[in-house]
Amino acid sequence: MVNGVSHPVVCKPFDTLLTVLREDLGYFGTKFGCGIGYCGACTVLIDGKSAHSCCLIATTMSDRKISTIESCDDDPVIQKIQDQFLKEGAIQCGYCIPGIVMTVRGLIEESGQRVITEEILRGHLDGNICRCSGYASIVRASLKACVDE
Amino acid sequence: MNKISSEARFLGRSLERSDGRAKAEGKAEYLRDMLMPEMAFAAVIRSPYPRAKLKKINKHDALQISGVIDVITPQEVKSFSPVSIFPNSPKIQKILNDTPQFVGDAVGAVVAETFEIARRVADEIEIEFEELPSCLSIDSALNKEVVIHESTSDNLAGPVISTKSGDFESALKECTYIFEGEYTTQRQCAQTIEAMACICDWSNESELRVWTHLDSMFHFRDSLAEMLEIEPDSVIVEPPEALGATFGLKNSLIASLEPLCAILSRRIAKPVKLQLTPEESIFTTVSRHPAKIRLITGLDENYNILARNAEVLLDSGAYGWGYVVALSMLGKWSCLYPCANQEFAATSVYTNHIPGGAYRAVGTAQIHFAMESQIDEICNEIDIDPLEFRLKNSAKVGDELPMGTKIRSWGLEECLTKGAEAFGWKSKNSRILESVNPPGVLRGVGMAIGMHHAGLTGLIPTPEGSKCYAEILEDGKIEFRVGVVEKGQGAITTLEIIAAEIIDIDTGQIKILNSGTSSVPFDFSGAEASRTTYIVGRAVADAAQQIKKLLDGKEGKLVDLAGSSVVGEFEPLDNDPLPVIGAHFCEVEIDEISGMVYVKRYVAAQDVGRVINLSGCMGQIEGGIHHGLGYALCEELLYDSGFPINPNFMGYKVLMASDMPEIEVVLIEDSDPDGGPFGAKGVGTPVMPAVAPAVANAIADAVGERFFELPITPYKIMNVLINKN
Amino acid sequence: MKQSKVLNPKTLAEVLSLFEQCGDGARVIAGGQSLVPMISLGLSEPDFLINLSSCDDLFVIKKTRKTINIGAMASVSEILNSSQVINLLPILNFAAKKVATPHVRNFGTLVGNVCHADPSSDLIPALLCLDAQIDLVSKDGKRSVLLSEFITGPYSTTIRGGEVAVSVTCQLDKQSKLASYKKVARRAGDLGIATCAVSLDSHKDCIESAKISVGGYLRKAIRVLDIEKNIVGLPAHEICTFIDGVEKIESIENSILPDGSLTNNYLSATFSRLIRSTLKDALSGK
Repeated sequence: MVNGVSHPVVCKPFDTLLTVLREDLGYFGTKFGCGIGYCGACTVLIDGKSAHSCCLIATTMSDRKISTIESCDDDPVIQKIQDQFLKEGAIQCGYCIPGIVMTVRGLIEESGQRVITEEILRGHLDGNICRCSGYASIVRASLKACVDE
Repeated sequence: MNKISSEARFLGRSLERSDGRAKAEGKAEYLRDMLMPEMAFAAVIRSPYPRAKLKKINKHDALQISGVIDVITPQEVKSFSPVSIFPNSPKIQKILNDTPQFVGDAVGAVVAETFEIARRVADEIEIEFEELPSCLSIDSALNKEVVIHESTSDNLAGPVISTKSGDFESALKECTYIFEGEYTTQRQCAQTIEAMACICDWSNESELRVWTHLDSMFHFRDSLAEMLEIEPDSVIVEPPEALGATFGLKNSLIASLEPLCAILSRRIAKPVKLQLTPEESIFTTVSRHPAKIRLITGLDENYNILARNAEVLLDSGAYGWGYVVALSMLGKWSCLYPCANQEFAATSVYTNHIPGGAYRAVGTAQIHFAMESQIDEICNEIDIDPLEFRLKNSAKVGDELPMGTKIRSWGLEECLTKGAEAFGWKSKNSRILESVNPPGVLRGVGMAIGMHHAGLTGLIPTPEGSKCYAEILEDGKIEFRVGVVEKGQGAITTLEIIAAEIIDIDTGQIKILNSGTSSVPFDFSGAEASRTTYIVGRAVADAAQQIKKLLDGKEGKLVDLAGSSVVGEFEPLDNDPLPVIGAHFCEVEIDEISGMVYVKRYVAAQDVGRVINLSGCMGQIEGGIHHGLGYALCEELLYDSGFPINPNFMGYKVLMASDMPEIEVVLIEDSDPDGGPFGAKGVGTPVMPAVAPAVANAIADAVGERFFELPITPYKIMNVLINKN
Repeated sequence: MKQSKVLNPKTLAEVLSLFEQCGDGARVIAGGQSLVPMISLGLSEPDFLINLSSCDDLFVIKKTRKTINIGAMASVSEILNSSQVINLLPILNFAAKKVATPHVRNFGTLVGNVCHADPSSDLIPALLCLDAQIDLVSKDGKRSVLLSEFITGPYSTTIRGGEVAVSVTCQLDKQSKLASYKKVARRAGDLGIATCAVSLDSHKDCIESAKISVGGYLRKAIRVLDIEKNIVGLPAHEICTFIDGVEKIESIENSILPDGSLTNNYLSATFSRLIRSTLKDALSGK
């Protein structure tokens, strides 16, 4: 189930979730970065939790709820994060951004009522590399989005 | 033309970038996402040896594998001339090499129906090499034990540079204080998150279309045309809708990427995509040239600098061009601390490693680590505040740049004083660190200044300059066509603001078009060398001025002027590129358990001339500090006997969000009337040089000993700490 | 091309019978956070993946009177959120916080981490302090092995063909009052160069019992028995002086794995300083 829609897929048995999302289902918003779970460009949410989709085998995910960046149309929280990223100028080349937005979305989901401090936020972003921004504007924008929630 | 209206409408504010939403929503199409009908996929067959002779590739068997379309070997591309790494460097990078010169050098390629098949066959193809003796250090290259390239008898990557002014030797004898040190810097990689790739469509013989990672479309177009022996007009280079950043990595073609992909496309008459893996993108492209720098500085009893000497050795890897890197070093070294008696010598050699290439602040990053570390050492020894010393001894307005231009605008003093104020830098002996050190933690502060250039005036054979075609459209919007690439740095937004500010209309009325070599005016260097705002910006500003004039007579109605067009132009009159300066301050904590360095606070005071787009400007500075801190602390592509040890995201360490300090940016606007629009300068690369020495100086302050080799890893620090106890 | 397949059994019995059918080419996959990148890089080439994520009973973190039993599918995040672990096994909670990044913690499992046997694992040193056992099931029956015996070297264990690790069991009475976990890594989220877990009891300022384990650039994570036995009985304030006085920690020296610039010298100094500092933190209740 991706973004609320069930997709029957025939794929190679060991294809990663990332490969299937991009190549079989056309969710190109989920980016291929390092392919080994270090850069976070491929971050999606599985049942609300952030995950590197390059480190999951697609066929083991068939009964899970997967959200990609494309779910933003129906998710006001993601939109709020995106708006803050735009306002803060946190987007440069943008390749890491969908993954980072999803990581922040996962953090907000997971935190519930708890306050998200800068330290918690940075710790949460440690699975995502951004090579353009030095993370500064990303942290500023994300904190604003978290406070709003 | 650069007069600033008293109340700027857009300048200095943050404008939301027009490509931002599509990127944030994952809708922007990057090269990795691009597919075309009929497209085939290519993968490169690479050498597993630092240096070898290709004996045999079993092309026949590979072609029998289902899904394989074509296999190409050096034999088939013999007739094509090699390509250069920098615009003025020798053409020695071959498309495919039957004598591969580094681990990862291209010896063939496989084209297949899918990327997976191409990659697998390229990895598993039956292939035979004869390993040749290799040359893996600067010393062995200089000893000529092995001569790497047939075209050079001495392994020299460019002429030896040897320049002098005054009489260094005699002056040194007059000196009261003499400082000498040898500094070493490492191979740093851009490690872009989007791996490099390229698509070529040469299915129609008369037209080659290319989509690739690039800093400049015309530079690529002309190099490709030259290499493939076709007319430049028959090559159309287009930037993809969105480009993963390059940080200079794609200043030039990579022979085994664009030219190879083009030839493959011609052979099968279909579009071909050559996608590098993340690992290939690291170890088979280019890296920053490693350097060994020996500096001597002599001072008189009043602490005036009397004599300076620099000897530089550069490792250019297989095809790099240390010569131009050394020239860039010389440019900064010779002016930053003016002195009548100076000698500079640089030698650059080929070795069997990844080629050296362009990367954020070419040459400048290396020389600043050495130069600014030594200045700090001098200040420590003679007990002068490093801030005071720099205020007294560094370059000033009116001083001459290497090719004779006088410095017009130079916000160094302001960078130093405002930066110090923001940081709380008092003086060396009254540390800002008033709170008590937690046990097990060493703390220190450091500072450095950094100079880099914007634009390429005098540095490349092609004259510096840019053009812009502007046209008023039916709906009253104005379209500006420019030959610059948007690779994430915010070129489009910056140019929008420049035009809107001058014409005094909403930025929504401005359209910046940079859609490819067939539809925009020629601009050789595009977005290289922090020249977008300065050079391209001036061409846009010129066009905007002309449109403003058209409007003045017409009571300001743009729709009535639909169809009118103008050509904006700019060519700098200077002999040198625009000098840009900054002063950086930082505080570090070192964990005594492990030698780990935590940068706690960072202040960057950067003279940007004039802020155009505030958030864009901040982003460039904060991002530059990320690259600089990585250079200082952890980023290094390691080799063992010619084999890359850590060419992936796990092994090559870049800093994560928790590793980054709190950064304060102090924007200094010492505007240059003959610089960029509104006096703006450049910002992306000039941030880089001051970072590593500022950190190194803070570490030296904390540990009480100086580190002469980058990156300053925990092990190097621990070795000192262990010996101290 | 060889045939490969992911199998999704629903019960442990099915897992075992599939294992038997598939033979040596089968690998069990739980969270997959180590295995999938290894497959992507071509470092592991299994024919069959037996996916445990449909076996509901393997997700459970279960408390009995004397033990806490962590099922094979329990993720590090679930361990972090488990009030039983927080209250009863704080040392495991401390170590779990340091595991890689949130992405990895959400899917990576404790049992998978133990079976992967990376010497830099954050969890294994904590489990060693708890004298934890791993519970292995095969068609021939069930056995439990102490982690110290189960892990034999870098990425190697005594798991047998046809055996599935179903849980890790921690003894509650092995948990001490004072605990701390520390890690030296080159950057946030990275594997440890040196890790240390300490679990202590003290009475009237005297060390009553002590468990110290270390991981990182070692052949495997180990208990530092030679230090442990010598600090029992010492007054708490003398511990640091004692450690400083130890010239060589034999147990560590014997298993250090130097790597490039991470020399023997660097590693032994780092381990010794890390142990000292972790002990201090544990004593001060950090």
